[in-house]
Amino acid sequence: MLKKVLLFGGALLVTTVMALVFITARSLDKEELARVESEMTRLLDEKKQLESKVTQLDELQDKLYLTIDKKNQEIIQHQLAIDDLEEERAYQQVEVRQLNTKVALEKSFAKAFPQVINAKNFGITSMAINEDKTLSMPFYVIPAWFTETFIIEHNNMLKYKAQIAEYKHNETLYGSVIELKDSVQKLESEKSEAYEKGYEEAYDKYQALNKEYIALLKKPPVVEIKAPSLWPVLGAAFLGLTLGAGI
Amino acid sequence: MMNTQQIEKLFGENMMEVNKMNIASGSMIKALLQALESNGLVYIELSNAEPEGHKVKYIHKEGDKTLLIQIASALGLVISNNTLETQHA
Repeated sequence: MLKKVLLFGGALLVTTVMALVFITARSLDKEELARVESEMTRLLDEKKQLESKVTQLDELQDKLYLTIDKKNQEIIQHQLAIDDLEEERAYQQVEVRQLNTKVALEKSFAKAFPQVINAKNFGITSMAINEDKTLSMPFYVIPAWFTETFIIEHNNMLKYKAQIAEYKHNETLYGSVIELKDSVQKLESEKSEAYEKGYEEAYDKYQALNKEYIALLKKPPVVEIKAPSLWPVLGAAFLGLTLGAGI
Repeated sequence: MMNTQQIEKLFGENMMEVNKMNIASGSMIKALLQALESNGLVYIELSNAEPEGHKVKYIHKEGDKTLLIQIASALGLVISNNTLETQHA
């Protein structure tokens, strides 16, 4: 009687435990499945948001590139204007050097300095340049203090030349800075591409892995209980018998 | 004797040499050339002007050479057998 009760109690206990394990296991699978599926959806949303942000930044970048192109065109126009001005300056100088009469010289001087042309005694006059007064030369008579104009303009010209040299030096430096910035930007771009590639690969692999995991959760592998193969059993029996006989 | 066309050509070429020089020095050399012509139809040919400089080579072409020395001196130029130079700092 006791044996029957014990056998029945044992069977009941085993059945109850197995049922509980089955129910708990089913419950855990559902939670994990929900978590993984939710994470996949969340990651997909995050990826879409990131792609949208990148698209916006790409559009902004394109606009900035257009602005840069426009500014570069303006720089080229200014450089051409500088070249034209230099050409004009050189031409004007030759024009003055080619003046060959006193009248032409007076006209040119009056154009450059109209402020002085009405001054008393202003103009070209001939003066002797040797003791015998056999030789003469034309001199320009201008108010003495008007020569300040030439002094100041000469000094200005020297300073302007120095300033232009500094501007040119700065322009060269700006050019170097822009080149360096371009290099940095190229490196940044290469880094971004590397990150993007890495992210895409990681995302794809993670999603693939998750899909496999979900499939696994939905259809867990069957655990088969098989009898051990014949040869190890026979081997073990033989070993046991040998050891038993020996003892 | 040079004809008018040759004189004009010489003037144009001399001015290109003058134009290479320091502005004020070039103007003094031009003053010499103009005074040489107006005082005795003396002509010289300039060459090898120093760019932005004060010195230029010359050869006597025609006219009274003594006038060249007198007028150059009157302008305060330093003259040698083949060079003209202006005063400068």
